[in-house]
Amino acid sequence: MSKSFDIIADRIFSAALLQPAGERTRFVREESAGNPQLERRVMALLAASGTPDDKLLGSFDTARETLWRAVLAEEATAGEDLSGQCVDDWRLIRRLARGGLATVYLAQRADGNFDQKAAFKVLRRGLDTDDVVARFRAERQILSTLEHPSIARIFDGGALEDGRPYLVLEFVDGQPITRYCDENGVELRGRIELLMQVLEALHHAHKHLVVHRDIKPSNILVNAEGHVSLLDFGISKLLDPEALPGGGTLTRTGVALLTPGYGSPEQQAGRPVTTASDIYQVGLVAYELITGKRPFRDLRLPGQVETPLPSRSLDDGKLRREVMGDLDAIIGMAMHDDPGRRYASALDMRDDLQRYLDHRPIVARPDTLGYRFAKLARRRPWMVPAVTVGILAIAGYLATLTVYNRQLEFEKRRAQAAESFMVDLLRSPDPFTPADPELGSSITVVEALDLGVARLGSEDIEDPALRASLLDSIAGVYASLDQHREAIELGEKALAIKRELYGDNAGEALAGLVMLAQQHQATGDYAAALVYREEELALARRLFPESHPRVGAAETGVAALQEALGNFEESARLYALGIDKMRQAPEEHSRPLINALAALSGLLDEPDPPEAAALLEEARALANELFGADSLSMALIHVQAATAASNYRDFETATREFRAALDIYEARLGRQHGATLTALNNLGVLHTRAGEQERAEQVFRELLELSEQKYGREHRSVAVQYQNLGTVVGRQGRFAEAVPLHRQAHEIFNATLPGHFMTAYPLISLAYADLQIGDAAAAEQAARRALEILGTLDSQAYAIGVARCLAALALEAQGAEAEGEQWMVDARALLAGLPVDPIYQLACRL
Amino acid sequence: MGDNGAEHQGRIHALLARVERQEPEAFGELVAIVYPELKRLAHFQLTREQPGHTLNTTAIVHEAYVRMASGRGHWEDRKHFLRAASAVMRHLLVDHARRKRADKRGSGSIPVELEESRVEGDDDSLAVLALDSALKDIAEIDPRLEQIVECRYFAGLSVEDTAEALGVSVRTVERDLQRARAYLAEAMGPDEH
Repeated sequence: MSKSFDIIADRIFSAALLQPAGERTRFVREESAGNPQLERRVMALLAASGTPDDKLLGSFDTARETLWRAVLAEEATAGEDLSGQCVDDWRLIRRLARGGLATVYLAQRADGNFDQKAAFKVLRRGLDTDDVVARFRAERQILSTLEHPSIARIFDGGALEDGRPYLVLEFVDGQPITRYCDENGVELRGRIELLMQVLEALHHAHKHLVVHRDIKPSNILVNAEGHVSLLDFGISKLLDPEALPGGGTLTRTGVALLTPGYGSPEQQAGRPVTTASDIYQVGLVAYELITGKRPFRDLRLPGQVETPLPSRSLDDGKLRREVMGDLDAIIGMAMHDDPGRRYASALDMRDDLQRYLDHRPIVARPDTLGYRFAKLARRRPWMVPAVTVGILAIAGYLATLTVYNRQLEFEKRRAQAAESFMVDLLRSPDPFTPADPELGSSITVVEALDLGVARLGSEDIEDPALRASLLDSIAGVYASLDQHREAIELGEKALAIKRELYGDNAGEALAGLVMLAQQHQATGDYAAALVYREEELALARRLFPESHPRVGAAETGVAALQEALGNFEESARLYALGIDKMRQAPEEHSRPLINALAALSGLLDEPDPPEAAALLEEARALANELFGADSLSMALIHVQAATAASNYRDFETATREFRAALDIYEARLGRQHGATLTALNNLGVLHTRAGEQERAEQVFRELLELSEQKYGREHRSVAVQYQNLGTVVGRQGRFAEAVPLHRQAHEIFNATLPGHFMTAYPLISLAYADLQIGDAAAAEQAARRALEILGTLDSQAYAIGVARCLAALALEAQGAEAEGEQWMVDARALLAGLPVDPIYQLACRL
Repeated sequence: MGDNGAEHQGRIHALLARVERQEPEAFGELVAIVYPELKRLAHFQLTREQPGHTLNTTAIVHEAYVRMASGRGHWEDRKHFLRAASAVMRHLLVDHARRKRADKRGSGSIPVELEESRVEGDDDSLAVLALDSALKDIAEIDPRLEQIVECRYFAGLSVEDTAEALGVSVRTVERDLQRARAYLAEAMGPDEH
């Protein structure tokens, strides 16, 4: 009988049951509509439905109970024991453990060829549901991809005669980490070193896209030599199901049998599990290992954001002091409620533990780093803005090239029409190697572009995708020629079209967002640039997993802006996160990686010189290998090396490095290009610092002229030039000449970066110059205004101190000596211990 | 259990919420957690029972729910829990019955239990396996019938609990049981039994 027949019969049968008993026969006959076979079938069903309940259920009740007793009896006799038996090539010696799902035996090769002991893990009877069997197979597959001294190797796998799967693993003769530490009286340092081994193993797994998901003390064994093994990848999961053949089923069947109390908040809530969940669990183990307690008596509930401080639960005063602060912060960061706020990788956490052991500042503690950055900003108030501008401009240029090239490739594939359009447009001149540094050939390119835009407007290009990518391409060329306004205008048009076409989650929008951010950056509109950068990061996070290098690249984009805005610690944090991700694919993300390495090196120059040097070397090697010695990337490295050298007052090296950078920029980009100008600016700053004021003045005058031509008067770069020129003029004793220069600098800063601490710098210089020419009232006014702007910014303590000192001098000069004395005391307190510019040292009588 | 009680409850709650959202992994996880608890409670009941007393599986399921999900349970939770517990019980019994049959045929790896298996009686194993396979056919006609039988026969839930587990009225359960009985009587031939 066919299935459809059964279903029709069932429908009539169901309906008949709703009829009064006496009506049913007639009802069935009518509904069967002259089909006697159907009628007979339904009537038989109706008859059978009267089978008394106890006949069916009664016999079944007995069966159920008997079977239940048998199941329980089997449990009570502790289940099976396969000791002494041979399974395939393995002889099971004795039972080691019975877990919830599997029983583990100590095993050896039956043929004796292989001396090593093994752990034979077989699924317990009655648990071989499809899910569990699939999970067992997955563990085998996952383990076979991992190879790490702290991850138990897999030797073999197969199935018993009854079909239950088994695995043969490297036998680890050890104790759970907590018991090992307690029984051997391991000190805090030793415990941390064990945790670092765990993190190294975990990092290996994460690199292979494996998330463990069940890290707990009983899965971390330590042997007699103190070597750690991470066990039980039984519920681990591949992040990318396509990474392994047949792994595609795993995401579906990766049943998470979480151990109570060890699941991360997102695991409990059933949200996606990432490597951050493993970090959380290591945090829990760390907490338990250090305090002997678990942080949450019950489950951590959603919204229970705070992780208790480990040190709070310690009674031993000495241990408590050791844990308080850094270890509290490290564990707190690992166990953060928000996965995005935890360590970005196991290696990051390992490194922070290492820093803790080495008594170096840790990353998990922004306060410490903030303090270091405050010191950095105090020591080089000039270099921070000047160098930053340089890096930003270059980073923008390089990434634009990349975007443009990628875009061109895309065009070629996309359509013949697009190709011929672009070829027409860019026929003769090569926009990237202007033969004439005075823009001879570039002008032709710009004209060609203008023509192209006109054509885009007049010709009916109906395909909106094609239109968008053409707009992008042309915007990219404008961008590479420093024509920011045109680039932004076209880029925004292209982005709008793409959003309409592909929606908010379109990967197609990424490149456009990058380009727009860079162009706004180049025009000095950091706020607008930051909006695009943050949008880019959010989009990258929607498109890729958190650990993906593309997310890292986006993070360094935001980092560059935070740096420009003076948020150094946030910037350094993001650079470090981004760099770590991009290192996974250094060639693919070479340019952003090199830029970020150089930038972070610059930020760490003061707080952590060895790290800064290492980062710069990494960047130099990468740039040299991938792009060659005369590449723009190499120029960036020269700039950073020069900056570092000048901070150590090694002016010879600094001049040489700046010159090398300048040569590359001039050769590759021409004298007018923003990057060249910035390099020139840095050379001027360097001359100043070396005490060569006349040479510096010459450089700055030229720069001012070039900048005004290039950017117009209302631009941050122009303000920097006025300020620098004023300073060198003043340092040669021509203060009356310096005053209008500083004032001009302040006004432009004020117009372009209102409220920014940089607007205070010219006022400080102005106050000093006013004092020198005897205008104490003007000096007081300028100093007070500077103090208003600086407020109580911790990073600006140096500038605040100097401004207070100048205000004090101005007050004293106007006869308000008592008040002045008070201000001077404050100023000296602020400046105590800071390296103060000799000019101010003298003035403030330090 | 002990200290883990509250942790269990939180997990059960989260899992039930995921079952509610029809996440494919969630039901399997729920089963895996419910399984040991059901066994534990059944064992507890058996060790305390009076001679001749029958094993009250409904009570076991209720107690398991109270222990595992109370505190934050609400109606939807209970519904899913009853379903999950019934599915677990079916799996347990069918698996056990299947192994008994396999041992009988001598293909099991442990021949020691042969004696016991005769004491238990083959009929019970057969009844369970027959019901299990009949249910798979019935599901072809109407999947809800399979669920009703799972709750009512395998877990021994009352009609009221079965109605709650499936989110239908008691009258619907009664009528569907009539339908199910018709098919089962046909498939398992209870009259000849």
